[in-house]
Amino acid sequence: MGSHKRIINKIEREHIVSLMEHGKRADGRSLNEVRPVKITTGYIQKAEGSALVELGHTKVLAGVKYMVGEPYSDSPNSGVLTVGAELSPIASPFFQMGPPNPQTIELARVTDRAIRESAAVKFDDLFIIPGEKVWIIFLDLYVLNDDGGLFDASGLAAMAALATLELPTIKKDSNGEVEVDENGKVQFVDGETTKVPVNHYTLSVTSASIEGKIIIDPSRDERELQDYRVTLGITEENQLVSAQKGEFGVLKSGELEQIIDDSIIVAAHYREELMKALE
Amino acid sequence: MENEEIRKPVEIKEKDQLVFPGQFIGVIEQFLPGQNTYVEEANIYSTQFGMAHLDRRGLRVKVFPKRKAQLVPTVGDVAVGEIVHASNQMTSIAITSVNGKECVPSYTCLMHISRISRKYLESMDEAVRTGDIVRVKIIDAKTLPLQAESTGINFGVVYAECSQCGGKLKKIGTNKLKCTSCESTENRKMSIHYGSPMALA
Amino acid sequence: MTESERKLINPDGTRLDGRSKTDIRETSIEAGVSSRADGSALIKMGNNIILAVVHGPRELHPKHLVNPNKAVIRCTYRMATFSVGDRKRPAPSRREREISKVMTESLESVVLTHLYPRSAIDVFVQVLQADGGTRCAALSAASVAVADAGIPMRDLIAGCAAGIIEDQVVVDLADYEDKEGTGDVPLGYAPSVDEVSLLQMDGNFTKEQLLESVELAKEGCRQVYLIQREALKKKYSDIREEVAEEIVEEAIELKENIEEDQADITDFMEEEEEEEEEDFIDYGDDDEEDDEKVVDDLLEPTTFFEEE
Repeated sequence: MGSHKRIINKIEREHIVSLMEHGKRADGRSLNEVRPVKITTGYIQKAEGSALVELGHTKVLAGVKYMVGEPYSDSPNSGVLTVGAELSPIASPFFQMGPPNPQTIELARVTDRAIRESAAVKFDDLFIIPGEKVWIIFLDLYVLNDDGGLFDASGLAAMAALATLELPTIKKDSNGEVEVDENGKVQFVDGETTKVPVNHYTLSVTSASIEGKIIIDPSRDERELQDYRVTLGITEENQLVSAQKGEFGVLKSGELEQIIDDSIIVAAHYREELMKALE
Repeated sequence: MENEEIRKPVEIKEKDQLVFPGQFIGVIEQFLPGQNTYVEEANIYSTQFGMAHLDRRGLRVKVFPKRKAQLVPTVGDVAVGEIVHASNQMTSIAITSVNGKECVPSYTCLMHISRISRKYLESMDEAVRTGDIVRVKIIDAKTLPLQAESTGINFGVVYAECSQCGGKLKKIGTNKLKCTSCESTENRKMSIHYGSPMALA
Repeated sequence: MTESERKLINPDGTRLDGRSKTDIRETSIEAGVSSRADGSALIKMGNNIILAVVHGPRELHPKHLVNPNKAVIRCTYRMATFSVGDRKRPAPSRREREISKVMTESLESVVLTHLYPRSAIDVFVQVLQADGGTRCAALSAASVAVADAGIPMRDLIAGCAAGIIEDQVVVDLADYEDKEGTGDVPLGYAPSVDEVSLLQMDGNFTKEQLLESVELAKEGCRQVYLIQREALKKKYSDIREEVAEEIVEEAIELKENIEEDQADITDFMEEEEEEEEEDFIDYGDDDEEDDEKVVDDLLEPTTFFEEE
């Protein structure tokens, strides 16, 4: 996708670069300003946790479903998290139907890494019967409108959906043993749910470089022009938990430091918005 | 609720009336059907969401749509695209925007050498080259591929790269471009919008 | 199971959610929700949340599908993994493909495809939350999205289902009514031209019951149809308000400009008059008193403008 848009943008490129030299951007933002964020939690009642995130015109919907399954043999006591993403023609006329393309998989994996590496959710607690039954959490991201900033919006949506995640309460007998029926199915208490505790609020922040100028939260037009982008996963303690550099441009010395400094400020802003939505 | 209620005709008097697709406007004994209407069993219906308007003499009814599907290029539209192939006689253009609106995927469009400029051209290289971005006017949309022309000061090449080194070309005359890195000069049939974002509008 | 034994119709004839036999669920449609699509609509029908977008008319790829006489409509119906009780697998299922096909055929009947030969009109429907009757709600949303894209249509298609629960024909089945009832008739209907363009049925029906179900579903479709029109109208009036505000702002600006211009003109004319007077006095009078008077006259307008 995007190849033809890039050609058209050759004409606009000079204009946008000259604007950036004056510290301005085509949509009126300053270089390290993000677009307005709107988070709606509990958008999908049928999902165990969900959130709709709007970042400017970009819309990403995240939903969580669960399954009871067997753990991986190397970690018998921890739950399993699977993150999926879908970039369908719903989001943009450039996307096509079909099996996930590398771009989609990158989006899912970058979002997944930020959550997994920071242990944003206590996976160690997500077991039902140690070594036998654990929770398998499916987090699916649907991009409903693509106007750039998909990594940031997906990170926010994923975190908001996990923060609102409530799993069914497991039925336990008087000895504290998990009740299982004759087919080996775990029994749940009717109509009761338990909140899954959140360890860290880890969020993704994307920066892009156009001709040596660093901008935060590139829009769709800027994304077509960017030399490279860097997505950082940042926890509330300003620990960096994941990074992903994309596109064909290369980082020069000193640029990464500026990106990290800017990203930490933006992550705090995103987190503030998230906390407001979760209240 | 019966269908009669939905099929109740709108009353078009002095003021324009809001109509929806499939809205019953009247029968053909009352009006002549105009733009964006269709006739079925002597009944006139609207095809669009918009304003129904009766002409001054009260004879013909037409609908002005609120939103118009404009992506199919028609004769007279201004299109911008990239030259994908330039042979001796014909250039083939991938149209990526029509009247300032992006189209995905691109339309294929042909332009004959005689339609590029009012001047007589010895060869295609004098006017356009592969990879150039051109602003053209559609002159035939009945057949596919589309046909275009680039005569007139508004039309022609709006962005080009040096054919020697790929560097940026700067405008130095009406039809002359100079490379900023290798200093070679090239000829193009240029639009007055060369290098300006106005070219996309 | 206890659920299958429960009564779906209360003794007073209402259903479990309080609706009567002919009531559809609470429905709202919003047109033009996606900035990247040519047309779009979001429908909420009961707990269904469905987004439909339209791209096109645009050039058709692959080329071998091109029809030289009319546009090709391609409708794709997809469900989100979290839209149903148990997680749905992300790959398209046979059910989704079948619904895509019947929806395509239904939309084809109303869109004036001959106006856009050799083109494609792509309709994508994403079910975000499913609660029974998704194909009907999806069809309603899709036709609003097509109208929002400005594509000429013969009529809007409204979708609504009817079915049998406890031997009674009722309209717009919710998820549990669909599962626990004995039959379901999804219907796509264009009320203004009176055409049924989508009809499916499963369950056990007598001839009379099926005909009654279709009539009742049409009744539901008409209710949806009015909501569809309302959605288009609302979007239009929103635009009109914006435009009206802009016009008012422009008018105010224009008025200010005119006032400024007028002030400039009066300023200029008075200056001219003064100059004339001055000239006249310079050439024609030597009286000192008159000179003083002239000075007073010159001062007067200045004070006048300061007051302004």
